[in-house]
This record gives sequence, C-alpha cells and structure tokens, in this order.
Amino acid sequence: MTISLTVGTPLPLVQKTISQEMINIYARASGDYNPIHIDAEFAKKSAQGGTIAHGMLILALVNNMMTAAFGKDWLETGSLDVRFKSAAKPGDTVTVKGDIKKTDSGDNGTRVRCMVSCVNQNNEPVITGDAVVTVKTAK
Amino acid sequence: MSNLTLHEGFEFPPSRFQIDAATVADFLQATGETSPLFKDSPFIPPMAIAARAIGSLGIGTLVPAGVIHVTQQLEFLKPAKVGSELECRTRVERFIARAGLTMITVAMNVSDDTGTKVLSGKIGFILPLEGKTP
Repeated sequence: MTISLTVGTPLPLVQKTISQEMINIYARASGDYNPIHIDAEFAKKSAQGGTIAHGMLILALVNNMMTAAFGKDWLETGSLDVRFKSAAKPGDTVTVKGDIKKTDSGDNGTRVRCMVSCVNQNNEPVITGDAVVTVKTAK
Repeated sequence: MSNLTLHEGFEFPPSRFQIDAATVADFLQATGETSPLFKDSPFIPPMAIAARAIGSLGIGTLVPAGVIHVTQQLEFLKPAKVGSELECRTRVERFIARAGLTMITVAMNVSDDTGTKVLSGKIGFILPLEGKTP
C-alpha cells in the first residue's frame, strides 16, 4: 500500500477500452453466457442495440483500482456498494476514478471509505458507489 | 424458471463450483488485472469468486428477455485457494413488482470447503414482468 490515507487523496486511475474479446473471456471465467453479452444477433434486437459488457466486468475494473491502492488489505477486508448507471459496450473506453472520503482509526487499523466511479468516453456514469477497506496497522 | 416462481424467501438451489488456475487466468486477462499480488498466487482473486457465484445463478439465461443488473454489494471475508470447492447459497431477499417491472434483491453467501464464508453480497436486478419486454 503506497497511498496516503488522507481525505481527498485520489486513487490510481484505471482506464480500459472494452472489447468483445474481453467480454467473451469474462463470460467463460464467470459462466455468465447471457446472450445480451455474447450474441450479436440477439443483442441487436434488444433495447441496447448490441452486446454490452457484464456489469461485473466493469466492476472488476473498480476492483483493480482498489487492489492497486490498498493491495492485500483490499483483498482481505474490502467491500463494495455500487449502482450500475449505464451499460458499457465494446469500443467504449471506461475510466475508473476514486478518492478517500473518510478515515477512522481503530484497533485493527484504519477504516477507509472511498468514493468510486466509472465513466465512459462521453463522461456518462457507468458505475457509482462506495468502497470500504481496513488498512491494517503495521506491526 | 418464470419470474413468478421467484418470491421473497425463495432459495436458489445451492451451486457448488471450483475455480481452477485456467479460470483465474481468464479472469485476469478479461479484466486486465496485472497486480503482482496475483502472480503465481495460490489464492483466487475475490472478484473472480463473485463473478462465478453470480454467473452460477443463471438469472440472465433464465430470463433472457431483459434482466438488468442495477446494484451490487460485495464483502470479501477470507481468501479461497485455487481449486478449492466453493458453495454459493442465494436467497431472494426483496421482491417488488410494479409498473411492469420486477425489482429483486438476492442475498448471496459463498463458503469454502470448511464451511467458512469467503464472500457475501447482495445483487439487485430488474426483470420484465411475465410476457413484457422492457
């Protein structure tokens, strides 16, 4: 963990362009083969007009940011509470941002609450929410 | 399964699964995760467990006409080893039907082969009512 635990500290930015290949591999990893994600013909007839990424794939990019910021502490104590605002499609570039909103020191370490968000290339929100992690005190 | 089968308190059949090294590699590739914490790690990335647990519900394929994943809560509780047997138990916590849509919150708990919880969460979905397309 390398970031300063100060309110307002930005978390490391994550940016990714979504591809159909990523979505297909994610479908294999998750076992979620909903045709809206992987079947172009099916998806063309939907309200979305084409395939969309799994919401959890985009949320995984938020997770990447939290792992980069808080390392093992995130993987062992992390929690997320988010809302999916819009879908990401192949070709969209999503940017994940966050910053520290609150810190509380306790016996087990410092509980850090972060605001997290994800927007597409048009700055439209894809995900908004909070993440909480306990950063353990070094012994 | 019809939407109408789902109701508050409905429990999905428990799903049991293993996440092997190839699946972890797929997950890391799909998500572009390059953290050194996952290099040769014996542990499964917690988001890969969440992905597989939610995928195992099969809600999207059961109701293909337009399920929308609207909210997600997750809590990582304990690392799980690659290849370990995991069990996901899910239960409909809230079920609200109005204005042609059904809003469902599903509570999810994933345990390892010792019965210890490794991950918990809540998933919010919107489903079209029977026979309607959003």
